[in-house]
Amino acid sequence: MASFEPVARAVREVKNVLLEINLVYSFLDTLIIFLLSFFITFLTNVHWYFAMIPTALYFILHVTKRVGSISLLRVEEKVSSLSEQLRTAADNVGRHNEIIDLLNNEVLSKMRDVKVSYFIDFKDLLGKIFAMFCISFLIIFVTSMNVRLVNFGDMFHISEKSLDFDRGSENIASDGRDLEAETQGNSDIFGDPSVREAGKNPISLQLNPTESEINLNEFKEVEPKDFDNAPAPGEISAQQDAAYDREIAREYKDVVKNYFDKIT
Amino acid sequence: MSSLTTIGKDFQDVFKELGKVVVGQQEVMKQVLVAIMCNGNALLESVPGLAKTLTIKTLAEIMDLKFSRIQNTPDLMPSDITGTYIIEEEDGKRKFKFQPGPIFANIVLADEINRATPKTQAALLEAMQEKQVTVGNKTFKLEEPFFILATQNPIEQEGTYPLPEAQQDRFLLKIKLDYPSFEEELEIVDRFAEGTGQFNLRAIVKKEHIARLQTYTKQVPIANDIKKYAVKVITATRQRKDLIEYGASPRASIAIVMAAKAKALIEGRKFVSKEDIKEMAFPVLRHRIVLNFEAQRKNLTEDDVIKELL
Repeated sequence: MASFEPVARAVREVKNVLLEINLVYSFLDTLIIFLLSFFITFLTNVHWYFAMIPTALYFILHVTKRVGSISLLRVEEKVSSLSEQLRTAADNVGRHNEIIDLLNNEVLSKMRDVKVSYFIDFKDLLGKIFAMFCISFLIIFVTSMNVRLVNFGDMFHISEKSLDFDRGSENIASDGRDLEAETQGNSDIFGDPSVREAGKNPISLQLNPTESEINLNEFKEVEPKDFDNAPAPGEISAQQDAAYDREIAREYKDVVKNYFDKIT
Repeated sequence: MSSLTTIGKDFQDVFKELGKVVVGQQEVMKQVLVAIMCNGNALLESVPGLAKTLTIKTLAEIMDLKFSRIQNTPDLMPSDITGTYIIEEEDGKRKFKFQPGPIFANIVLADEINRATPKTQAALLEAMQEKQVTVGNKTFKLEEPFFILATQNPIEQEGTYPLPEAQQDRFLLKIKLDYPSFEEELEIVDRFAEGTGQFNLRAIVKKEHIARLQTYTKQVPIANDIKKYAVKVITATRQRKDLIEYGASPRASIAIVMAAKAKALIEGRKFVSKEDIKEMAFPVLRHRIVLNFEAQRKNLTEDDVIKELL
């Protein structure tokens, strides 16, 4: 085996380790950017999809920069005894003479002392994890409190409501009927289509006694209340008034009637 | 010189032996060794009395080399250096016999080269470049290893023939000798004014090893970015028109890399460092650049400009 082969292999190995570490750092940094972007989109009432744009851009730029910056110089900085030797050995892989052979042996013996932990900045890593932790808590806080600083979403029609990509399917009933057509665009009668559709399905509700303000243990029969004897203030009095019927088209009346028939 | 692994230690021994005779001047000695290992020639510049001759003579002794000295004067003829044919009587017959001049040595110290006429300088330079001399119509090969270490006096320029830039370019290095420090001068006085002046020197490097050392020098590997840096420094001399009238030739690029390799080997390293390039840039470049009027007006020296380039 030529003397440069072990050196070539060692150099390749070191470069791979550096690449992996750089990718991990890039991933962590990108995650921080995503959390920050998400936080900002929430505060500005912008659809969270927009948080993906800076995240993707950052990831591409960061990975390109970090992968491009992989150099043996970094190894030499961490292991001063390898200073300039490693680069020289790597640049002269394939060449063979007495001096290069000696250099290769020297480099190989020194490279045995190189540890992966040399290239991991634990302080930096902890800082990044702490930053992610803080941003995550901030996100939980603002979402629970529904804090919105600026409403860019509605201003530029990029809010979650404006960009609800599933909204079109809400007017199609589960049995395939077009509810929008049925109501002739008049949703006032039926209320919100999504709520209306949900109303057709049996809903099973279970109240957790520990998380409810209602104490089910104190449940008792409703007492009849005698309103006739209720003392009313003297200044409150009732007068007869007139009620006027509005002219409602016959077909609308049928729709309403049918609706209530179906409900009952 | 025992082996390649102990090369650094062997050179330390060379310096130790030199130090028995010469006080200080470590850098100068190292640069002279660099020139020898690169199979180049050096131009030494200093005021008189700084032990140039002593240094070279001692080095020749330690390296087991034949030493000769030529004191250049305006009336020195090329034949005084190269040698000439003399008539010799043998068996009653007269015939011409070549009498070799002082150039037929391994280390030749050409003292005050700028005092010789251009014709004599040219004869020296032919020997330097071609490692041969031509007398009449016959060419004589000089014995290897062959080095010329020429000296120049920076003062008393009256009646001198300064070497043209093209000829200076043929010297691998221009080495500057400076005055010794107070302590060193005190040591010089102790050693030479009170001592016997006799030193037992041992030959550390044999003549036959020098060719091998020169091969090793060429074999020293250099990283690509350091090589690029060296070439960048040399090309910068041609681009800095604000300070330099004429920059260094590509010969300087070869010289700086070779000198850095030799320095690395002398220091026992098997690779060239950036520091080697930076250090060797001064002796390699100082005689290869011509400062412009603006730099001279600012009272800048060649070394100041090189420092700025680095």
